[in-house]
Amino acid sequence: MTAESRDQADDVAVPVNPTAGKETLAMLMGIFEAARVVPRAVAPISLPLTIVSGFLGAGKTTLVNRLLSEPGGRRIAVLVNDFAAVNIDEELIRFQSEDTIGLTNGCACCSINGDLVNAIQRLVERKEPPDAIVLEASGLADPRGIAQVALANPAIRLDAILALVDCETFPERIRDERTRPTMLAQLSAADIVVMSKSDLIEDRRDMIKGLIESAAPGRTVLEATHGDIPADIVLGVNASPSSTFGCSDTGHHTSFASTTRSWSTPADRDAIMRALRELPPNVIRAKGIFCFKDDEQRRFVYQRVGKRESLEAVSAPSSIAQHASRLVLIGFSEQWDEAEVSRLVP
Amino acid sequence: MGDITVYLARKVVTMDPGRPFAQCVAVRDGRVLSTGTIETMQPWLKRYPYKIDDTFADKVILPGFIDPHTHFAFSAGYLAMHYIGPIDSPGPHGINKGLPTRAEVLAKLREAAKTDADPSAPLIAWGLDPASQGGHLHRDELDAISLDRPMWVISYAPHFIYLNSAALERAKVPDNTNVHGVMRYPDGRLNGQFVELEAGRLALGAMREAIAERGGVDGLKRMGDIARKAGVTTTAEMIFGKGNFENEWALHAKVVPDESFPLRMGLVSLELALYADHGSKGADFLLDAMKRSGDKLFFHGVKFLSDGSFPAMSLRLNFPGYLDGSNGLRNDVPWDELHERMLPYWKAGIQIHCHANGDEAVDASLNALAKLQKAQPQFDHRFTLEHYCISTPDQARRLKALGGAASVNNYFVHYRSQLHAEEGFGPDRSEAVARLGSLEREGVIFALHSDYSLVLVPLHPLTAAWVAVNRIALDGKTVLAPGERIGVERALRAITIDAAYVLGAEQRLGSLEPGKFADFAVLEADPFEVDPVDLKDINIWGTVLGGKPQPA
Repeated sequence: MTAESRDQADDVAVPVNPTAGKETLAMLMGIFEAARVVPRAVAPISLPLTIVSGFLGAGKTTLVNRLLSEPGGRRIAVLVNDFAAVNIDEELIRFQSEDTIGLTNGCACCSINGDLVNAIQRLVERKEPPDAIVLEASGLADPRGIAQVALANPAIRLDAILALVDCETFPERIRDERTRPTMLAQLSAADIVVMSKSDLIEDRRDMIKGLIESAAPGRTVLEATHGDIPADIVLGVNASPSSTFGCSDTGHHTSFASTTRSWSTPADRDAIMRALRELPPNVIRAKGIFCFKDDEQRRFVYQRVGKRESLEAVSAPSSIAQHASRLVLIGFSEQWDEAEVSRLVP
Repeated sequence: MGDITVYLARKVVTMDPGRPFAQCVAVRDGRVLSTGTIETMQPWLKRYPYKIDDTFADKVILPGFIDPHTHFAFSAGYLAMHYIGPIDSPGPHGINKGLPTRAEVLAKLREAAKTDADPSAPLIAWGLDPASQGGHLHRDELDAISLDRPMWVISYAPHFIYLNSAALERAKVPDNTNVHGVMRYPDGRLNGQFVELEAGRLALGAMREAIAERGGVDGLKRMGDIARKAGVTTTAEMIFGKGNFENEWALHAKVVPDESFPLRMGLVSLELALYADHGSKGADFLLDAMKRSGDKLFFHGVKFLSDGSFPAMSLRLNFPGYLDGSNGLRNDVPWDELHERMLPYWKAGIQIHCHANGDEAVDASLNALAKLQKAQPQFDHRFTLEHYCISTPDQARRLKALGGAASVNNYFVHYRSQLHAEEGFGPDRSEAVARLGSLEREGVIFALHSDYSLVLVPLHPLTAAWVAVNRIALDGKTVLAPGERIGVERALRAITIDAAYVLGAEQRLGSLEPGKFADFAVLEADPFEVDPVDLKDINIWGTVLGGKPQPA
């Protein structure tokens, strides 16, 4: 569509990371396993997947725990490698089995146990599949390989990749030859970079932001303490009836603002898409379910996270009324310009 | 009991040394009732209704061939995969050699494109480092290697994927696609490059589908057809339960017992997987699983591994090691713990199959067997060394002394000996690959197997017998280690009755004797009559399984 995609890929000058081959091999094995395990017929559902990556100690587990206890009305399934590290309030636990902890709020935490393909397939095959899946990637992994294994299941839609960086150790690790390749892989794969433990680095904030920008230019960068990011930023939209859809930022960090639009009659696809592409960069996420004039029978899920956007037809029944459309925009409150947003998306 | 069917033949080779030849074989309820002539069978035929079937009147009936070590259900992707990275890298078949230059990458791709006889089989290569190996690949360059075979090349880190036209067709990428990362030539034509996630999903999704078509139910059936055409009526999956025990069982239980599937299959469970799932209770679990066995699909034994592969040059050698001074890989269970991990199975009476390719690994496996014998002495345990590629005459003697058996991949004598004289194992060891003569002299019972399709040799027991009898190298003239040749009868035993013995199934399979399953290999010529150098060229009509003809 654009001039850049007419180009051939640029030659990469990045030196070979010795562990990358191992991950690529693991990715291939995962896809081969998916070829065996995932049924040939296309699943009638489309589950949004968010991958949370980040080096060891970057705060992934904290974020995951927070999501599980405040899912914002969603039934989230979290996939983790290390079951023991997840620390869930016992009062919230409804049941616990060998590979699953079920919570009273409808969420679940599931062990990957070395077999992501089967862990995902089990979620897809559930009688009531979750509204969203959050995958906590291993601290040493390139999330691209993991994403491709997860996406080998046609019922999975990639919503976003988050990279968490531990502000305290980041400046050192991004320079260290041993950890730099992993950090670069994680940052460059990310749609959103989350600076965790930012409360501990007051005076070095801009320096760290600069390091992130030079390692992976153009990423949306958020700050968080104790995993305090609204679930609506971490998670995408699901078109299933049980899913709530909106942005509840009450009780959270006040640095985020959001706005919602709805339409009761079929929307003009071109006009909407044009408007969405012009949204200012301080919009972190845009997500919507649309009924378009040119295709009233189907529903379309729109997602924008960071620089990446997608528009996909979904076969699942919409949670909103026939012919209705709805859009949520989330951004930084500091730079939020409601007038500008209203001008673009009235 | 049902009616009797008498199959007339030009000759019946029973593989029962006491009554080796017959004119016909009578079958009742899927089993052999009698072999002999119409006259000798009269005591049966005058008492019960029968019919004469002359389909095989001009053919030769042998017991159905048994390949006791194959991998039918292994992922087709796994088999299609080739490494083309710049540095040495461990892979599923052992250490993959690095290819520093673009010329080597392209040569490897060309070689890989030629390996699978099926021109529609996918080819997956991974490890390309565009920075050090001369830049990105693209569609036209890959098309020059193969236009028909769909090709997927994946970079060393999973960022770039390159497809040829056949793979692009599978990916069904519309020419006007606007997915980010789907790259084009300056004239707008897709150049086969897929960069990063969204585009990668398109490319890899098509790859997954291409593999899925060749795996699972369809893949098993396809392998069954290959085996039937080679006269095989029984095989054994020698790495069962590697991924997920119950999933793999469900697949086999769906396919193998079905009447349309032309083979019996033994499932030999991988101890490593049992250990991961059940710890020290693996043997108990397996004993319980054995209750699921039926006539066509049965659990049998447990599989250990002690070293790497012959063709991938990762087997373990004693002095003087490899030509380049290196050595291969040991397997996951440390050698000094091997006997401890084996002991529960040994005590439970579950037959142990131990992969051992190189002579150092053979020593390690025999040491483990010696320790088992010390812990709890046993006769008739049938501890079997699998592959037994590089060995010494004294190891054959020790194997006999400890009461073990061998299942040998001897196809390598023909297909790879000369190659590895120059590369890897050196002349002496390469020449003496698969010492069947030594095993015979020491009185060790042995079978021949293909390991299909984990290694690039055919699944064709008559070819294995041909190699065993002739030991002719790939050059078509050199006879390799002539003292390790064996006779035609011994070679045929190794693909019938002795192969049944190695699978603990000699009471049911492997020869044509009353009570055994009526499983035949039906040949157009008599292997005892043809010139031994023509053994592998005997036409195979097909098989009979449980009395049911299955033409090739």
